[in-house]
Amino acid sequence: MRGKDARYFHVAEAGMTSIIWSNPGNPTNEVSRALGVERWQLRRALHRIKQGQGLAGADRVTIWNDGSVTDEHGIVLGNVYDEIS
Amino acid sequence: MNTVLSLATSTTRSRKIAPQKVFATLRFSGDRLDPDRISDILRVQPTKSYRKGERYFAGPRAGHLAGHTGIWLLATDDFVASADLNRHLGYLTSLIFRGAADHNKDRLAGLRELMARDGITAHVSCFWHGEPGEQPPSILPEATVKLRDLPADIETDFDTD
Repeated sequence: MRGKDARYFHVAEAGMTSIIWSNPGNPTNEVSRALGVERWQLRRALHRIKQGQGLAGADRVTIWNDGSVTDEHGIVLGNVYDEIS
Repeated sequence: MNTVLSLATSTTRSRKIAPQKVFATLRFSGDRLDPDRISDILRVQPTKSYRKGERYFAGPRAGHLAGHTGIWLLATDDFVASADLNRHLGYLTSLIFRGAADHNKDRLAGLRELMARDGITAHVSCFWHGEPGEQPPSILPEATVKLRDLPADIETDFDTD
């Protein structure tokens, strides 16, 4: 079973973050604007995160307003900002 | 300079080329995957690799995560500075098919044997982000044939602003 990241539970329980995207397909311009990055940077970051986790492009993920990306079970897959910097 | 951060057997390679809007990745995955075996055959260090269950550093914000399966991944934007997707795919095929014919067969046979023995699958993904109205790139049949011969499935992630 995949390990769970303590950081994810910390921010989720604190209620300080919110979901900004949880739909199939590529996120919209509004999502990239909410994160303060360009859309191609967000797409590229998501692509790298999914590839690095063994996921396919069609696999659904959730993006949080702190840049965290989680799977359908709430497990942290990575962070958008880590892939941009 | 290219630096590699190693945590146990996991590897995360820092980028030496600025982020690009075009790149491809070659990924091997499987629960019994030993990343070192793939590196030994291809004679290249991956962008990211870890074994199933291994904790690896995913970045300053994500912290340490645990691999739910074994991964060996190489992203071409660490090596190829080009807006031409086929150059990126050419780099990937060259890893497998480069050198003398005999060595090609050894490398290919080695990968196939490892994949069959350990239940490893190969996957190639192509990323492209274009300007509004721009036509997405076409993948040369030569690259498709070679990669499917591995066998690797090929996925495209093309979109525009």
